[in-house]
This record gives sequence, C-alpha cells and structure tokens, in this order.
Amino acid sequence: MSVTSIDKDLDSLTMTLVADFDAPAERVWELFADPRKLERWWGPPTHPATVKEHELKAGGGVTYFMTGPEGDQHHGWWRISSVDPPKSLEFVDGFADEDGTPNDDMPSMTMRMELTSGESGTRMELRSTFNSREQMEEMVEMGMEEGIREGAGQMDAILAE
Amino acid sequence: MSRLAELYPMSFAAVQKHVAVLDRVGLVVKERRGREQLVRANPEGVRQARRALDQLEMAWRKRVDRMSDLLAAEPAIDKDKPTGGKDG
Repeated sequence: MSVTSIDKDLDSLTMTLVADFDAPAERVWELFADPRKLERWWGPPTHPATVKEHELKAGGGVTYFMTGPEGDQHHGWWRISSVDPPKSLEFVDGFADEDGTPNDDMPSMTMRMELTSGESGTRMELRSTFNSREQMEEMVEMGMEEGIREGAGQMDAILAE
Repeated sequence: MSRLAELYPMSFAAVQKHVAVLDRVGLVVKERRGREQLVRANPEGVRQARRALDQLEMAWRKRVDRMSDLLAAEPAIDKDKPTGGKDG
C-alpha cells in the first residue's frame, strides 16, 4: 500500500501527504532512523543518497549527498527540531555547498512526519512546507533540471501509474 | 481593498490579513492607485505554486513507493531487537 491522500495548499505552500504502510510503526520509523535504510529511499534511483552524519535528536542533524549519473554530487542536510520515536519527527531539509557546509541561501523546506499505528499497519502523515516563495521558485527550477536529466522514460512510467 | 472586504462576512482588518498572506506567497499582487489599494490575482504566481507543489508530490510519491518496497523486501527481520525465539 502507499499514498492514500495528497492535499496541496497554495496559500501556505504546503503539501500534506498521507500514506499507509503494511508494517508496524517501528519499522517505518527505522526508514528514517537507520541511515543505511534512509539512503535506500531518500534519493531517486538516478541520484542515490549517501548519509554521512546522522543524529536524530532535537538540535541534531543529518548530512547527506546524492550522486548523479555523471558523478555529480548534491549535498543536503536536515536540522532536527523535534523527535519522538516512533511517532513524530520534525526537521528542516536544506541544501549544502560542495563541501557539505549548509547553505542558507539555497532553498529549504520544513517537514513534519507523524506515524500512527492502526490495526493493519501504520499511517504516515507528512507535511512539507516551502519556507518562502523565493525558495519555492528556486526549487521548481532545480526540480525541472532534475526532471530533464532523469529522462522522459521514468516520467512516463510514473504518469502511467 | 475596501470593496473586496464588503464581499466577505469579515472585518476589513481580517480581509487585509488574508490578502497579506496571499501577497506574501505571490498569489495576488497589490497595487496602489491614488488612495486606493488594488488587489489582483497573479496567475503566474498561482501557476508556479501549483508547479512546485506538483513536483513535491511527485517526488514524495516516488519516495513512498520506495519506502513500501523496502518494507516489503525485508519482512519483519528485526535484527536490532531481541526476540523471544532463537536467532534467525
């Protein structure tokens, strides 16, 4: 099972996604809490992620980079605002310079992830907010580049779903 | 803006607040003409916000698919937690 609902709010530049997983909350939590697991889903197949630092606690952070098909590296970071395993995680996700130093001039997003256990599995609610209109615009431009690089094949596959 | 406020069952201040939010995220454009403050929709801003949220949606749909695949690929092997039984 996967995405159950998506809500996109233009006024607050926020996307709220609800997904249901056929697994207990602890295992879904592990996908965030275990760096080796995190790197298996965070980046797209064309840009797999490598997690360097990983400290899931308030004030802590995660640093990672994604490697593109031409060996190009894109660095990113999370700054953890709050964490309550295996229930909720709140963080800011941003970009970093080539040496991994957080770059506050580049776009960042605020994310809140919540897990609730149900009878048949776990529901994940994820709220993702662009921190400003300028950042959103930059993200669109970067995303478009990415989309072009990923190639039409992959896009078709997704649209066909 | 005062004419806009007349259309809604809320105070002028409340309408002003809403417009400020829409202005901040670029969905409307404010323009001063003499004593009047004009507000108009910004179609390009709306388009761009939609595009950004659509992209975000697509990225997360793909992530959720990968998360599902991972959860399905390693069924209930909990290496980190001691179980009641013998080592698996």
